[in-house]
Amino acid sequence: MRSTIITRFTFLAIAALCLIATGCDEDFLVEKPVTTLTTDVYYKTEAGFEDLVRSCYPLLRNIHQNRTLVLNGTDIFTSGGYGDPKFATPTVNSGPIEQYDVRFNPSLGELQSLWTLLYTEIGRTNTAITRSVDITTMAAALKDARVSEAKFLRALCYFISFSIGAMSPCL
Amino acid sequence: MKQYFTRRLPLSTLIMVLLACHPMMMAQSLAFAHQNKPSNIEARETAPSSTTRLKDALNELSQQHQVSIIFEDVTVRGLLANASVTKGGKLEIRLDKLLKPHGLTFQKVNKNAYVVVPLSTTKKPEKSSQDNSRTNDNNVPALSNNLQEKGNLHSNTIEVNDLLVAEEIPVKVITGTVTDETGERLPGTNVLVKGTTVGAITDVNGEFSLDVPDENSILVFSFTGFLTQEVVVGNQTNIAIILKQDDLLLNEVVVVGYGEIKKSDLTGAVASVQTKDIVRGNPIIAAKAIQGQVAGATVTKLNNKPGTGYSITIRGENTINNSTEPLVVIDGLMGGNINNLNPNDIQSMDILKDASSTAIYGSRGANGVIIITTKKGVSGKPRVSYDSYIGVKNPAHLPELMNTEQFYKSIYTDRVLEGVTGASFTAAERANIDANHTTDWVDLVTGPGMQMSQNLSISGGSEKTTYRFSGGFLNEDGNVLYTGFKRYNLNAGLDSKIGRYFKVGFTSYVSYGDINVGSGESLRNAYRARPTGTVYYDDLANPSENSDLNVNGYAFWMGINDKQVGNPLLDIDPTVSKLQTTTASVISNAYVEVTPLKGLSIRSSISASYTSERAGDFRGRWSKSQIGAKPRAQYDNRTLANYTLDNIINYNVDFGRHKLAFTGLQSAFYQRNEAYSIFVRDLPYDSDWYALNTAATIGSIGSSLVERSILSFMGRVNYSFNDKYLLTVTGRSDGASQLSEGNKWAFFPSVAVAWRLGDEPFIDNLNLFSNLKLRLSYGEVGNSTVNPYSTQAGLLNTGYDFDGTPAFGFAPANLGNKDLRWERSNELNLGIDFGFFKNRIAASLELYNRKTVDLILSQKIPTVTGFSQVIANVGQIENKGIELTLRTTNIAAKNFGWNTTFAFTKNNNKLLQLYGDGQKVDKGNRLFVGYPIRANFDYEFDGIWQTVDKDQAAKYKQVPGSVRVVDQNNDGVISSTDAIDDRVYLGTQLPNWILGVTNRLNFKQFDFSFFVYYRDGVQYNNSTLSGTFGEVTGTRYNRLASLDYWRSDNPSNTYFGVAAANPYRSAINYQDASFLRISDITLGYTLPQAVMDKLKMSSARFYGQVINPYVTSKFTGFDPEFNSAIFQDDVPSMTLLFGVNISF
Repeated sequence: MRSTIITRFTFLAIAALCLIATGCDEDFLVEKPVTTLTTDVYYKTEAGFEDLVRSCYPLLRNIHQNRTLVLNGTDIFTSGGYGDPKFATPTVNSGPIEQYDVRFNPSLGELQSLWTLLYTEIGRTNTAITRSVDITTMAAALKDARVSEAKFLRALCYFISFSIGAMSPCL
Repeated sequence: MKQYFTRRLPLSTLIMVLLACHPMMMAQSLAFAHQNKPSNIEARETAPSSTTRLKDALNELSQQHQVSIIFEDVTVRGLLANASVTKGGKLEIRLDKLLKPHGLTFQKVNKNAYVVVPLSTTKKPEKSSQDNSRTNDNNVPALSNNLQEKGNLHSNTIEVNDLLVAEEIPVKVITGTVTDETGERLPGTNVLVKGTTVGAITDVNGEFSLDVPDENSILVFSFTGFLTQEVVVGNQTNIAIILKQDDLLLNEVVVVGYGEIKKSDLTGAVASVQTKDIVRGNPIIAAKAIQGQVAGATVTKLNNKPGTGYSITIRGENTINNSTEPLVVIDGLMGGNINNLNPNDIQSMDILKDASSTAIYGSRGANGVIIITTKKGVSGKPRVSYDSYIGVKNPAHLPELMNTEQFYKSIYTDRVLEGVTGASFTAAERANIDANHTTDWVDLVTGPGMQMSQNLSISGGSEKTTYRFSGGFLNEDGNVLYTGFKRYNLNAGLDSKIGRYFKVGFTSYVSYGDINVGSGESLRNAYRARPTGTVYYDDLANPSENSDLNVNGYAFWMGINDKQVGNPLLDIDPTVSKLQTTTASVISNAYVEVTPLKGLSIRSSISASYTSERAGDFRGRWSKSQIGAKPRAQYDNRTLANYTLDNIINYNVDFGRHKLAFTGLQSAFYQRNEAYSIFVRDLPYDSDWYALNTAATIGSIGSSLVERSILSFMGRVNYSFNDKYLLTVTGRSDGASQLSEGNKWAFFPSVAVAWRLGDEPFIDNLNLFSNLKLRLSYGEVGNSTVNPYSTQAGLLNTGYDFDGTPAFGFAPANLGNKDLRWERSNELNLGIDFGFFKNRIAASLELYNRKTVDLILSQKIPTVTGFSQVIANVGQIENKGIELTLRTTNIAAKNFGWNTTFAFTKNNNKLLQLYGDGQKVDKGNRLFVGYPIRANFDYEFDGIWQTVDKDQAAKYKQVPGSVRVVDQNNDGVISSTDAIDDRVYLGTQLPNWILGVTNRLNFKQFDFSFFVYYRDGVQYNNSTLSGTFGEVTGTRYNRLASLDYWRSDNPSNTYFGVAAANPYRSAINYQDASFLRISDITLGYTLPQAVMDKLKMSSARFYGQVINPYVTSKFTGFDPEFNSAIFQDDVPSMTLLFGVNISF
């Protein structure tokens, strides 16, 4: 009688262990995204790296569309009516961007949006430069070319921010 | 040969009875010795060789007939038997001949056993001890000595412990049946003869058979969950007892996570709704049964469409951006959908409210847990039960729209009065205006609907195996024509005990639901269309004036010069608009339970569910969305598959006054959501969504997969000392796939203590409380609000080109936060359970304080990082409140009973911290530190500018007739700029307090019940008022008739005028949506027992019910319970039902 209990108990213990063991699958808690790619997964591949570098270009369009800051103040662009003798009363208070007065400070909307765009672009280029270290399958020359594209675009952003007089941290 | 009796009574009975018998027998035999000596001698003289002792004669008889004859030595000492009597003949006649001369007789206790007893009647033990002292016979050995010396007690190899000794001279055998109020038999009921330990237990048919000593015996019937009854036997031989349910259930068992506990042993805050309370109001969706019956739960209708679910929050809202729905566990399956269940199949819903009860669900318990247990089989003969109702659902409590006369006045006459141009009308409209003819579009698109439910269930089984099968069908028509909800359920369950150690079982639940709500626009069109419109094309005076079209006989533009809203009657046509969602779901559960040792049980169960939801959206040519363009269709298929694997160990141990119960759990959970979607345009013919390949244009296609998994370990210890002091400690560790590597595990502990003050002598002596229990608990739970893949950074598709060659790329879309963790709630709960007047008033009071930290919000980061925000654990919310559940038995007379249940909930929500950087105000998201969430933030309504205040209005650049708002800072400017903002916190959409009262009355065979529900303190930004239905300054659409709008000759202060410009119109939309509803008024009649016995039924009840007959509120709109925009909605309704509950 006692031995049957012990035998049964042993079987049960083994059964219980088996059940628990199946739950201890190491992969059970690992996430594998399929529908959306994630940066960690995609940028480690060669195709992903290329796509990353290509994604550094489109923001230039947005940056240059901030024409009041990027293009104004040159001989080609200026805000309407300022200092043009054609207009009857040239407005003196035509705006902080032309006057470079005390209102040209960080609370200016155009400055804020350009700043955000520039640093988003700088962020992307930095991502490309740091991720390039993990890419092992690309040809060295091609990889260098891509990294230098990213570095150039980053430098361009710093140049634009410097030329509008912003004190931009170099990241 | 050993003979065993079938019923065994304890030794004490034997002692007691023998005590009763023995001295008297002694007295008797002594007396007898005096009296009957001559006859003894006589016997000796007459018998030829009659020197046989009576003792030997009895033993010989016993051997000859193979029976046991029991007698006490002292009884037969010195007695002689007539030897001739011992030869041949029937046993009993011979026994009688032997014993009668000595003043003795026998009693047959069993087929094979007889006891020799004296002829006298029973006397009370006390009296017999007096007898003892009177005789003062030192020869009488103490009874206990007698028994100890086994030799003295003559028995034919029968062990003393196995003896059944019947009562002295039993008068009668009583049989009977025990049933409950509905006529169902109750097996396992305890039947006891009061004052003795004689008793029996009813068998599977609820029948019992018992020997009672005399007519004055009182039988006591008791069964868990029912009120104990006492009945005097009198001269009855067959007693039918009906036990009433003990509504103030202290012995009730509640389901807590992974186990059940007696309510008196509970240390946390758990509310339970049993099946009779779930089905009383005939809810379509089971969640409705929780509304107003569970203190602490706020249940709100989502909309009036047929088959729509409810939103449930328990103890307030603990999160801002994520779901506040509680975890639903259906028969062990985590994350089930309550909408798929048939309420008739639910045995109980147990709602775990405080953190100490929900902590065993770890990272998913912060919003509370609803444990649903479906009905299981009960052993006994097969019981069939049929529940059905049929009824009609009529539109009711509708807001009125303007009729033609009022409409014309408001868009023409009054506009001219104010000095602006009136609206223009077509000839067809003019004809209607002149004839004062109103087209009631709402009435045309709605109609009464049928509501019907049929449920059949069979349950039964032997003592080892029980089963239950059930099937149900529900049909709920919508009030908008051609809409409705159908649900089919099939349920099968089996539990079986195999051998001594194993128990296995399975349940499987299949459900199919079909909701068809036509077009989301039909109702809104009906509420917008002008009352001056015309329904049929042929009735139009001049169709070309507004380029009207004849579609199926209807005037598409209704004779109105407007190209936005088409004829609502066309939109509801199912060949024109169809929005159908079919949900097929299977939930199944199988388990194996082993009890190898006493008190130890190991259970392994797997629950799995698969749900497939298919939604098809077809908009035909003449629907509002297409207006003559080719049809479009969209088809979505969403599947959800998940399983929960639980391995549970339970160990109970009792050391006298210490009781320990240990539960250990290992669990794995996996869920998979797939979604597929396709949207096409320009279908050549009306094919719903079954010919998508014929479409000319593919609008979009998409699919997705989301997987998640959780691994858990849990331990719980329940300790009780002396049944008065209780302690519960739990801890659960959850590892989840959603969290990032190295951060996956989280631990949630809890501790709870309870003290049964009512059992303490000092409280007992007060004689005030029939029950008093104090509970204190603390726990930490999590809210599993981290979405799968959200700790990883996603990708953003970008486009560019190099010299004409496309150059698509992928940029990082957001910053991934690898430290993201669960939102965590810490809660302290104090509970007091008390009862007065033998629990005629039983109440439960809970006070709680819950703080949720690590709320997942978007935290702003400096833009130099390249991103403006990141998802992080910042933010804290506090919820504090009181819950009171009160059950009173107001009247409990013989034929009339009345009991009431009150459920009171009050919760205060407060936002404690926002983004972790000291920011106290977020106007864009309406989040303010120190105020509740879901806040309303806008200008404060101050009436309407009147003509007398014209000049003052001019200062604010407003004219009389427009909405006036409070200038909070008195700076002469109404503005929303930060520093001089005149907008303030107005209120919140969270309720202040809720009270639900259920009254149940019964009088003889009738029962009457109704439900009162009051919700206070919700403030909505009224979507009906803020939509076109409240826009009196427009001229296009119809508007609500109840609006008392301002005119120069009607200085109303409640609503703005038709002409004035209204920059601050939004301020008028914030309304208090407190409401009172009286509903579920039911009158039922149960057939009397006599009639049912004739018809061979076990119970039959007929009832009539009115649902939602009365609602009152100050809220202007559809339904004060939710904020309806009349878009994708249905009208409120009142339902009249007639139903039967029959069981065999």
